Amino acid sequence: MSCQILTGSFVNEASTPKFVPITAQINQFRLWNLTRSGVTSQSKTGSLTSDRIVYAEFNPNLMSSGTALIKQQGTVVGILAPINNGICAINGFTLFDSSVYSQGATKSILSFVPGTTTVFTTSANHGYQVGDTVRMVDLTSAPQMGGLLMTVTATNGTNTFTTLFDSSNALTSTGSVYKVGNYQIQNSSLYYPQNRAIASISLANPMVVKTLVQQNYQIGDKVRFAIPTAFGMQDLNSPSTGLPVEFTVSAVNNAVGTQSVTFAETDSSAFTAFAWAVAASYPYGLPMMIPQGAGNLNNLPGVTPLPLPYANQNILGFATQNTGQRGILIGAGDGTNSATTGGLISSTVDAWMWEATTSSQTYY
Amino acid sequence: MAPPINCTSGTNGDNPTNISPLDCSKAVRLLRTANAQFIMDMIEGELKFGTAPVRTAFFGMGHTNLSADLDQMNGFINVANYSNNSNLLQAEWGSVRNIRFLLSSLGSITPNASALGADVYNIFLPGQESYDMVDLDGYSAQFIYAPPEIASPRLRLYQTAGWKMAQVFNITNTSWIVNLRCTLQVAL
Repeated sequence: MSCQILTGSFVNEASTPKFVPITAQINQFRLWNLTRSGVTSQSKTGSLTSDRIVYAEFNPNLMSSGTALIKQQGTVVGILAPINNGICAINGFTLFDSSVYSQGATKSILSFVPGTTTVFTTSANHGYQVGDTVRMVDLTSAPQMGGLLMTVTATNGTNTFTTLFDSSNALTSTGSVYKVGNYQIQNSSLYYPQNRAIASISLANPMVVKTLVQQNYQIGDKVRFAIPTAFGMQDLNSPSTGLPVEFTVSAVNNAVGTQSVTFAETDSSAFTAFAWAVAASYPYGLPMMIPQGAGNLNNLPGVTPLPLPYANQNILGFATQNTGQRGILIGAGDGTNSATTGGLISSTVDAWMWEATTSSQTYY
Repeated sequence: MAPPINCTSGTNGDNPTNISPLDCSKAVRLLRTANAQFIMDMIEGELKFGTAPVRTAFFGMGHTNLSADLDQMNGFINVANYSNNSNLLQAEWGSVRNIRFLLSSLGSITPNASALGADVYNIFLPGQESYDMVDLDGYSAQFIYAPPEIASPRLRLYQTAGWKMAQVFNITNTSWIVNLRCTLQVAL
């Protein structure tokens, strides 16, 4: 057993949790907000700011997951700010290990508003962040949505959140929802790229497909489609005879809330429309996009592509590379320790510095 | 990645449903339409009481929790009822339609992923040459045990055990492998 201290830095995305990949066991983690402490770093001008968390610490053996011991600045006077000590009870630090399945607390869904995107209302504060991956279950009047993974694309900070699911054909329902991950980290599958359930498909040239969860595909990837008959648009399925039909990805927008893949070589204008099936069709298979070949790029932090021995290869690279991850997820909220809207990262884009005390076992 | 197929012909009201003979037929139809080749030859019928012939088959690899549901299925033939047991694998549980099921406690489960929040069991049905394995010569999985005399020769305080391997598996044709997803009817 040996101990080591790792250090690093990053610039956060506004209102978005940050995943820091660390393969070793994390015994303690410290985090400093340099920008809001007045320090200019990483091209971000320092700005000493009142009422902001500027230091956070986490010990996974002694503290609850999702929390942080914090120091928050009071009102700035001149070039100094007083420091208050306390705890950030929500959207603090969470250790992540992709080899271990975990899910958050089950929240009750009171209703949703059917539409081309879907706004869900929960009975209590759900605590979800934009970019979180959630799974719906037990939707009694809308069973066709049950079991689906969806990315949270917007929240009101308390009891509503939005996903790209097209529920135009659904009836509002009660049900349950729980968090299983975040768009920056793989959930349950060690290998990449994953199959993705389809949220919607345009009737246009070029054809644009939106996915319920950010797909992380790249330009040049080859995919096939599996669309059950209840969803329409059988045009995309491979025929029963002859070679299977493959589609080449020409553009990708992986931004949370967009989650689209464009196929420049496909004109879907005259296709049968795609629509999520009605409850009467339940149970059924899911409409899927299935990767067949891939380039050598991804958006997963800390997962470095294996080097290519030759150029211009269609290698389905990550299908043979274990993309399992360990690390720590830094939560996002309003940058304070508010019990309802708090979180370490806020809506501002800041420069951060971190330090992790880790241990690793080595046999020789 | 193998294309996933939800079982839909079971009766437990979930999505996917519990596994049924019709779901098995649908999965086999998909594979055969893609020209996937069966893994196992047919077992011909013989004049033995209580036995039945077994069709040419794909292997269905799943979790041991599925054993009770398989036992409940119409047309299920337990390995004890095969007309010839000369080519059985230790993990084999039985057959339905054109699938012979191999069960393991390490079989794949996706927790709480069904429409009703139940565990989803993944049954992988590979056809011939749907995946391959690449390994360095003589460097496939090795279990290495070092007794105290070797691991700590001075005081012989500890021993070590571990494994290493230099091999990788790869799906060669996704049309020739299917993931049949189901839930349980017989509660654990």
